[in-house]
Amino acid sequence: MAHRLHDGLHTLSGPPRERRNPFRREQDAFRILVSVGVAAAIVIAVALLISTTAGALLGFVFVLLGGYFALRWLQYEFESPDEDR
Amino acid sequence: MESAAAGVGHAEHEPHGPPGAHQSSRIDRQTLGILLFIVSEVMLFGAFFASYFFIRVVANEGPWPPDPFELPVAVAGMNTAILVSSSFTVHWALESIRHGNRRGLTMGLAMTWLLGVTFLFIQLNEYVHIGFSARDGAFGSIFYGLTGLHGAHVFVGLCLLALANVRCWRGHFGPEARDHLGVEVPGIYWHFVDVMWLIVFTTVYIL
Repeated sequence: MAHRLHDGLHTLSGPPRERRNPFRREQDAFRILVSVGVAAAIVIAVALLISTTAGALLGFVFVLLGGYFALRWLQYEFESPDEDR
Repeated sequence: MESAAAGVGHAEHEPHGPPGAHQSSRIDRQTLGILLFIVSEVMLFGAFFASYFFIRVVANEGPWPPDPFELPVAVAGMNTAILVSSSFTVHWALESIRHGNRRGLTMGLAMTWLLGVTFLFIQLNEYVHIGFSARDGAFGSIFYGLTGLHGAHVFVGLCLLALANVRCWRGHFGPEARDHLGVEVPGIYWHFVDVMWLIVFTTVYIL
């Protein structure tokens, strides 16, 4: 691995990807909007086709899922930059 | 002499001005500012949603919405489609300027503003014809509170987009990221407003 790096080649994992940031990049905010739109469409479909309660439960699951991803993002952002070194 | 030369060489590599501030986290100042703003907004909407669910689940016995009230779901659904379309047009505007297409930026921004105004106009029209007011019990209060709070955010977004439109007509903005920040920031805000509406619409009108 060391000689590959010495020759200017990337590591096998590839170059580091830029992290998504919906608070700085409009494309990332748009991606979140599309995700929420799809989730809302699924909840509406379930609520209309099955029952309101099932739709509400699914909506709650989506909110929890969104909260989990938001927390993971925040956890990474609020880590010390020394972790990168 | 040798040390003086070394000193000059060292000075060439040193940046001017005071040293950069120590960072205790990866997050930069601008992102932190917007993050705190969005978090405060989410908490504000969260308080209204908490009231809504309290009134609906704890304080309500019987059907929802309570009997004399009826919500115009079809009109609100059409309005939702209009608002979501406006997010696509603002995204198109930004993609255009990123590729140096000024015409696309101008068209996209103008369409976004017009779609936003249409949304607000339809919502106000809905308020006029809905048949109940914010004084008509807890349901009326929370309905107008939630949708009105969102409407206020749309109004702020329209003001920001109006500024972006005027700047665009004056020839501002360019393909470089720092040259179209005046569209990017209202764009991010507009997407946030749309996300909030999707949640408000699904909760209030559908569930």
